[in-house]
Order: sequence, then structure tokens, then C-alpha cells
Amino acid sequence: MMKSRVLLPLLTLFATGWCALASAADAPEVIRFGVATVGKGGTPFAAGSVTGLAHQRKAVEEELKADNIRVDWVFFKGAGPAVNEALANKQLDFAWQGDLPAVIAKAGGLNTKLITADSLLTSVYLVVPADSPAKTLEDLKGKKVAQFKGTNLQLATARTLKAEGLSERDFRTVNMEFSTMSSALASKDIDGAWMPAQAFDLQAAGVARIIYDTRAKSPKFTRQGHVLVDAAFEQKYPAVVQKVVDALVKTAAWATTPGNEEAALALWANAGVRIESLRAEQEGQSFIRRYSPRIDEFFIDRYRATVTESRELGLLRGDVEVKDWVEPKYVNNALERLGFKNLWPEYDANNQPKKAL
Amino acid sequence: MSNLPLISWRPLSLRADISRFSAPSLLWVGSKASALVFPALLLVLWQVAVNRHWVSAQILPPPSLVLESLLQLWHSGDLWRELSISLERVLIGFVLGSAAGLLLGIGMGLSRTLEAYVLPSFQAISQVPVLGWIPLLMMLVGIDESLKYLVIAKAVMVPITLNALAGIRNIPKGYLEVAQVYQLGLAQRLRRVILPAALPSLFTGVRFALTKGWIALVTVELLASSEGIGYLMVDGRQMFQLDLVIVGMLVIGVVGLLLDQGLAWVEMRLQRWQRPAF
Repeated sequence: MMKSRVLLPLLTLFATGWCALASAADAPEVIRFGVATVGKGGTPFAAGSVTGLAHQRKAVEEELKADNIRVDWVFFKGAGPAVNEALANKQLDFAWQGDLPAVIAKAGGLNTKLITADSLLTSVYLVVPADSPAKTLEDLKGKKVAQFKGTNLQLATARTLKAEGLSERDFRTVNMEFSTMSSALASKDIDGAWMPAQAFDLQAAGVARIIYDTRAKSPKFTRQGHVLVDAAFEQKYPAVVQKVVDALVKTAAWATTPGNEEAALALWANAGVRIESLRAEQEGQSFIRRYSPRIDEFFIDRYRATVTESRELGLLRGDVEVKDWVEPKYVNNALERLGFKNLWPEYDANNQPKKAL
Repeated sequence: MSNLPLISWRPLSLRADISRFSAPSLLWVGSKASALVFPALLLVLWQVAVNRHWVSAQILPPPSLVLESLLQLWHSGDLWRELSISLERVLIGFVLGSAAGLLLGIGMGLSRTLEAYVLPSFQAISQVPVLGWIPLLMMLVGIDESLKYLVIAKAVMVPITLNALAGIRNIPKGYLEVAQVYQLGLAQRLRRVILPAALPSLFTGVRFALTKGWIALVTVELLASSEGIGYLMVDGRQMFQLDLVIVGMLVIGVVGLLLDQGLAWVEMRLQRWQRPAF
């Protein structure tokens, strides 16, 4: 008796679910967009990416309005690794993420496609408590240094350390996410931390001091971001993917239009990072360059380096063929059709613009 | 934890089995084998789930990969290194927590006044789970070893205190009256009457406490650590190697079981004097 009482509703549930799936083949009712970051205090905002702007400006919603497709945004405090888990569970269709976690997931067998670049040449900052005597990397040898493992900061950090003749093992590395780092620096529980733009917030608050900026050393010590799509989704709904990419490209174009920079920074500041910090992070970099959506030689070369370097560091099992992983047709199409081809020239592996033909 | 009643009755029934049956070995083997049925079924279900792709292979790696990672960790010595760090933490936290728990429990057991003053607050404090203490403790003592010791000690202390108190309260009145007739002093009363009589309850507390301490360790290592078996799991998760997470779960389960069974064995030995009574 008991059995049928449980089984029947379960079967019904299954059957209705199946029908719902089958009937939705032409267009999804909703797309689920994951973002590998979260605002201060867990607020659903993302700083530093075109995706974060598109979210606040409702650009993707606008693009999909005619098709009656809703957009569910999901922000992950667990950053890239948490996005991977959600992708593996088929809970996301699109995601903004950093290079290392995506490479790890791809090598682990997650079938995704990289469809646009989103936030390039991002630095990592090493911060120490404000009254720490440490001035260089060497000074922190053997000390407790925090890192958010599995995020794209980890690899950028490892690259830098290697170039400086050091490795993660020279420090007592503690794994924690960024908000924990901030309080741990304030309470001096850690002697240093590798952080994103929030580092400037801590510096301004007098809590911490930045002693190292990886980008200042070399563009190769930076981390890259992208938007990816679940490969099965891409196969099924290429038209929807194109519209999402259109929305992202339009947003990037808006942000990089002279005069809009401040507006973009102000939107990002909603994530709880001071606008001054966000501005400081952009210093010495052109907005247009950093927010180029193009999947060009530079992008492919950086992701290839991510694969080889993380393999060398033992962070990766298996291999990833970046050439087969990227799908630049959507972004190329959007740039062509929307007339932004010259706004974002292609860059070569050495981060030099290629001559327009 | 639902295994509290289980802990308290199992040794008793086992003892009854041994004394009643002249050839208990067959029964014993049978009961041990039947304990393996459920894990075996689980393993089959796991393999089927992997084969049929019920869950993506990234989330639920096949048993073979988990075994491979386990062996790799074993051979590289990493597993033992992390485990020994974790065990050391549990040991220190356990010693601290049980010492405090025994003192408090026996103190309250002997003095109704102390009980009246302390027990209500103690019970209120013990309602806050380990996870709830961590944020505050992190601010107070940092994320170093002392945090782990304190968290484990707190988890350990609660069941030991309560069981020590209950053990003393439940001593048959007759025992204490005899002690009074013989005019035993406090030290003698403790050694000859109170502790032996409260021992079964105390041991229940100790075994339960060790389980609690082990769980608390894993909790605190998952949150704030750079080494240990809990950290191994965090690392596996961050690096999207869920096989490492499952290895960690298996190791935690097996080690916890071994700790508990070890204590059960000690308990049986210590309480031999009671056997003729049954």
C-alpha cells in the first residue's frame, strides 16, 4: 500500500516533467545565468564585468523580451568552483567565470563553450595588514597567506610566484573566500592575502596595504574572464545564444563609449566596492581593451597558457584543447552586425593590436 | 544524533548474547556480515547511477576513480599526513573537553547547589551548535589551532558533563547509604562507589563525545584550515575533484567508526566487574 502511495505521485511528477521538457524544445521559458561572484554581504551584484553591467541594465532581458524568455540570475559566493558544480548539475545555461575554474571543469568533462571574453587583464593584489613590516614577497616567506583556491586568482598568483622564483609552498597557504580574508586581515589572523579589487577598499579603510600588483609586473600575470554556455543548450538554441551575446556586446559597447566609464563604475559600485577602488583597478589600462568581448589570438593564447600552466602546477587532470572549446562565431557575428568591428580590433598573443585589413 | 540510544544499549545486548549462547561465533560473524549488506547495496546503486548517468560524472565520480584517488593518497603519504593532523586535533580537543566535562559533571553531581546555579545556563549554552560558535570564536581566538581545540572541546564537553551528572544522579540510593554506614570519606566514596557506579553512563558520554568531537573537527576544518582531512575535502571541492571529497567522507566515516568501536572495546574491558551481576 505504502509503496504505491509514494510511487504514483513520483511517477506523475516524472511524467509531467518529461512533457514539460519535450514541449519546450523550440525556445526555453527561462535562461539561467550564473555569475561567479557576489556583492558585499551576499548582495546579487557583480563588479568588474560586462555581465555585471548587463545584469543591472537588464540588457539580456531586453533582448529576449520578444521571445518571452525570462532570465534568472544566480550569484555565487563560492565563485568559479560553485559555478562549476551548478553547471555539472545542469542548473545553469550561461555563466560568467574566470579562466582557471572553467579550465578545471572542462578538463573534468563539463561540456561548455566559451562564447565571449568578459574582463581581461585583471590583476591580483597581495595585501598585508596595515602595520605589517612586510614590503616584498620574500618578507612573507613561511607566513600565513590566504588564497581563494580554485578561482582564477590562484593561477595568476602561482604564475607570479613562479616568475619570482617562489611557490605556494614557500608560504603557509590558507584557503578562504574574499570576505573572510578581509576580516582575517583586520584581526591579523593572516599575514597576507591575494585579493581582487577589494584590496583597494581595505587599503582605503586603513586595514591593509597593497604590496604587490601582479599586472604591474607583466600582462601575462593577469587573469581573464569569459561568458560560457552549456554546450547542449548551445546546440539546441543557437538563436537564443546569439541574442544573449548581442546583449553582452551592446553592453560592452555602451560601457566603453567615452563618458560612460563613470556610469559603469557606479553600477559596479552597487556590489559594495568603493568606486575609488574600482577606478584604481582600471588605472593604466584602457577600458576598451579590458572589456573587449573578442575571442581573438590573445584570448586563446591566455587560455592555452592557463591549461599548460595549471597542468604543470598539478591543478589539472586531463587536457583541454582550447581551439575546440571556444565558439567565436556568435561574438564575431554580433560585432559585424552591430557595427563594432573597428571598436575592438583583434589582439595577438603578445597583447598587441593586429593591423586591420 | 540519533545514535545516542544505540550506543547505550548495544554493549548490553552484546554481552547478553555472549553469555547466553555457547557458540556465539557464528552469530557474531552473521551480525558483522549483515552490517555489510547496506554498504554493498549502496555501492551497487552508486555504480548503477554512474553507468546510467543519473548524476553527472563530475558530481558523482565512479567508485573506481574514488578508489584510485584513495590509493594514490595512501601511497603518496598525503592521506596519513592529513589524517594525523586531524587526529591530533581531536585528541587535544577531546582531552581538554572531557577534563572540563568531567569536572563540571561530577561537581554538579555531588553538589545540588552547583547544579542549581550552573545547569540551566549550561544547557542553554549547549543548545548552540558547533557551527554557531565558530564565527564568534574566530574573532576571539583567530583561525589557528586554538580555534579547532576549543570547538572540539566544546562539542566533547557537553555530552560528558550531562552523562556524568546523570550517572551520578542515577546511582541507586542503597549504594550511597551503605557508603554512609561505612562512614567513607569523599575520596573513598568517589573511588569506591560513585565512579564505578556512574561508569556505564560516563562511558556512554565519552563515546558519544568522541563522535561529536570528530564531527566538530570536520566542521571546523571545512571552514577554516589549511591542513587536515576536512581541508582535503574543501580542496577537492574547490578544484572540482569530487572523488577527493568522497575519499574524505569515507575516511571520516571509517575513522569515526574505528574510534567508537575502540572505545566500546575499552568499555567492555573496564566494566567486566559488572558482568556477574547480570
